[in-house]
Amino acid sequence: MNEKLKKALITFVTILIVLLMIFSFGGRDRVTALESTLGSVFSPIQRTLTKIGLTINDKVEPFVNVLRYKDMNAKLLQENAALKAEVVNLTMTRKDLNELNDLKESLKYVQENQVKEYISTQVVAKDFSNWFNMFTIDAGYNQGITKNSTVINGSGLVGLVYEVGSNWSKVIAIIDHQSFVGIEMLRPDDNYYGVLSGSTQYGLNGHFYTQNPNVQEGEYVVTSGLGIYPRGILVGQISEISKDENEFLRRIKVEPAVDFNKINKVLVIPYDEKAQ
Amino acid sequence: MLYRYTTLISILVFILSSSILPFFAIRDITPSFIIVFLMVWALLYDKENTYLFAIVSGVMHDLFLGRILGFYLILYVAVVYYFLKISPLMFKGSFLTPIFLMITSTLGYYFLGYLILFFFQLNIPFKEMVNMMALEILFNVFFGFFIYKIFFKKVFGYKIGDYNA
Repeated sequence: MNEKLKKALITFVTILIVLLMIFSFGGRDRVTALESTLGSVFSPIQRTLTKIGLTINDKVEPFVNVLRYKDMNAKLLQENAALKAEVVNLTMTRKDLNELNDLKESLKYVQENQVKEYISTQVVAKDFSNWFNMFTIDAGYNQGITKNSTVINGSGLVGLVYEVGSNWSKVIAIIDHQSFVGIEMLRPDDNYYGVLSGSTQYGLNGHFYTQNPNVQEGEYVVTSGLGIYPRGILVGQISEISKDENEFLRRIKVEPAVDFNKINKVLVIPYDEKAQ
Repeated sequence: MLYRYTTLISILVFILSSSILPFFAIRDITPSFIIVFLMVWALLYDKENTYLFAIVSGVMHDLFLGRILGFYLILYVAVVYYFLKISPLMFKGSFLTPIFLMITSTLGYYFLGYLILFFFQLNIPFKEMVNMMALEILFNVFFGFFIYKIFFKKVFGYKIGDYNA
């Protein structure tokens, strides 16, 4: 090939890719038909292999973690004692709540933002590049998933739907560097609001909007409803509180409630633009 | 090598990397088998097949797990361009060749990726990137060396470093 023509072709293709990057930045509501079809073809294979990977990991993990079990046991015993005390408090709160529910029914109060249906789905592939924390799930717009839908599992908040195909979707995990979650404390009084973003090592970093919040390590944080995520989903447990002399706000580190290493089955709460 | 084999192998490497590999991450970092295979292809097979491997892997990665389309495509093609430029200067039968290429290509891959993401304001903190990069270089060198060794014997019929062959 002519050297000049070759250079022109390379320049043209590079410009095309840069334009593609700009166009796709921020995610798309729906991917193209070709991408949808390709995803539908590869999803079953990836799903099977992911299951195999998870099974192997489950078998191997006890041997890898055998030295950590003593510490884990001590920590769990401590947590168990704290939870017993919590149960007593919650039982009392529940009594109050029952009274409030009776009152709500008698006043014919209609609750808004009630989630009508969850979509149960499975993780089929995870990003292995170390740049982003993304994964794909085997449900798309055919199953009712829309961009910005919230993804959760039994343990807590997982992430947000980024792009949607016919039978698969891309999800950004909350531990991604560019993910932001509005949070509040999981406690009946003295509530504080803040924001968390992802970091490496599967952790979350952030701060409260209040200058000197009365929070302790070990307390739980949930979504505040400020932003895309619905309110009240468990995000994680505060593992470290620090004060930067140059900043007025307290910085916190949060250990996510979800084990992102072992994520498999997830639930999707479809994004309701009107409700937001 | 036939183009269809290269296409199939690149799809297989991508599928295995995105499904099984993440479960075996050490300190949340996984090796990049795509870069490893690109090095093997660049050193042992022809230019067209190596670019095909990069394009198929890049497109698959962008479509299914990418945040911006074209990001991985540019990175993998750039890595191949580097491999093909430097490989004529390298002695393919030496132990040091895959080690050197894995270190330099992973460095290049990370710095180029950081630069692209910087313009999209999606970059991760530089210090964290350096930590991730250091660990990934170790993994890539380890796996790159062994995978190159296997393919080298398959292509040339003798072991890497066997100067009497």
